[in-house]
Amino acid sequence: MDRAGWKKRLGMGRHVHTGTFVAPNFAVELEPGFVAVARLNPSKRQVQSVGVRELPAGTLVPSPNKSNITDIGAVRQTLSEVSERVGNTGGRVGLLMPDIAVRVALLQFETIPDDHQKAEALVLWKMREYLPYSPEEARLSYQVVGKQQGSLEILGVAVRGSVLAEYEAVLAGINGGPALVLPATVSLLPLLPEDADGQLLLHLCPGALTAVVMASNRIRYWRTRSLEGDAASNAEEVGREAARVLATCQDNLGVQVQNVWFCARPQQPADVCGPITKSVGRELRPLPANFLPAGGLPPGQRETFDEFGMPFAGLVANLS
Amino acid sequence: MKITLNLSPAPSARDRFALVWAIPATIIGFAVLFFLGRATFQEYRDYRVIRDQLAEVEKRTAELHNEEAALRRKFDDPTNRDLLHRARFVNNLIEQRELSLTELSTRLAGLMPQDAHLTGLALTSPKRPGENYMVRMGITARNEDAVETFINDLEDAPDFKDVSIVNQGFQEQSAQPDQVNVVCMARYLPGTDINAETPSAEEPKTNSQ
Repeated sequence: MDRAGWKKRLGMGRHVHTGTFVAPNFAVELEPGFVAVARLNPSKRQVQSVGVRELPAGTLVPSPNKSNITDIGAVRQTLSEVSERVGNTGGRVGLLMPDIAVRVALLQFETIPDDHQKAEALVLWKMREYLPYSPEEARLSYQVVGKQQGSLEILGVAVRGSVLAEYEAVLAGINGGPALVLPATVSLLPLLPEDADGQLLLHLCPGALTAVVMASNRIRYWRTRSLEGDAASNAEEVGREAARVLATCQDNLGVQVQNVWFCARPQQPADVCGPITKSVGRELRPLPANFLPAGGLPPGQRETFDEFGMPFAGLVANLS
Repeated sequence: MKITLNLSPAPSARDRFALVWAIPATIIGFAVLFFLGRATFQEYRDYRVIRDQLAEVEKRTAELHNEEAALRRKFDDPTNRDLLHRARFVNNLIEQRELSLTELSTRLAGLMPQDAHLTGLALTSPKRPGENYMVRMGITARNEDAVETFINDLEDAPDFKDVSIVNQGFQEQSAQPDQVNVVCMARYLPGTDINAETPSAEEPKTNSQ
């Protein structure tokens, strides 16, 4: 019997079923340019401590179907340093991954089975055209984001098992491994206000731009594209991408976008934001937080939080 | 917008209940361990007691074997062997002198002539060591000759000594006027070789009347 046969017989080759959102006490974000860590207090909805450390170039190269981490030792070392500064007091660990490593799709269904496993299999089958790898290799999580008469809209998030295993390996031994795994942009969604008008979220990270359009508290559009070079050199490209999204939503979905929320990490100077503002023809607004997630931060960490910490604010905001 | 997504594996039933069951399982485990430990200790203590007892018994057995060997050596000594033979001889004699009333009755029946029969038998045990049993017999005979024959045979018998007639009488008013009643006594020596006996040559005359 071959290796796959043995794994199947031992129950090791079975499809892994994902859970639902759990509030973490300790969150780690791994991005190509940095590692951000935060200690959270979910009950008080506060970020208690946050720290960021630059990651050596080339140690993390996000991809949906290739190896992402080229030097796990360097990533673990960086994570260890920043964790020590932030202070890990135990509890559940949350992992935020680069958007590029994860595939997100909006799917339409007439109905889905009540049985979660069957529904997951159906969503995965429909999502296969978005995946550059075999659906059997994917780990999937889905959420119903829109429900109308005879129509269901589902947001599916999938990651290749081998890719996720690399990220989980970085966190191995930290509070028993991650209990929550999300792409970074998903963690920003709870910060968006419930508005009937259309709103565009632009999330700019090293190497990637994700655009999400929401209307009437429903996700209508999701697109992630990779970017070459730094933010300054991509400012015009980001502007053009944003303009394309606005036009698509207006023409195809009939959504008029009123607010453009811009979350760039690290924060970008005015000369980067200027061309984007010019392209979209609207003011770029920072993500709002209608509570004080950074109220418990010690002095000196507030700037770090403003620059990198919005996904962590989104995690504690998701509880309400 | 509230999100419910999570790419982390759902905790299995084992994960969910592991902590719940961990404490009772640990307590039960410790309890079982405690009882097993106590039982083991008790078994070990019993084992040690039995081992000591066994050692004691083995030691005693060895001592008895030694004593037996010493006695055997002592008995193998020529002087003691002679003593042993004598003791064996004395024991045989004692065994032979043991009285059996059945044997005595059978013996007397064998000595009784055809015209006489035994009407009474009394046995007196020896009062002092070295004395013999005394037998008192009542005999009724058809005529005096039969009594005579019996007395003679009794005197000739090696296991009866000192035969004496205590009294003798006739029943004149009976249907048989010659009928004789005799009470006699003799010393009885059980275990004596009776082959030396010389039975009476004369057959008692039977009274045809």
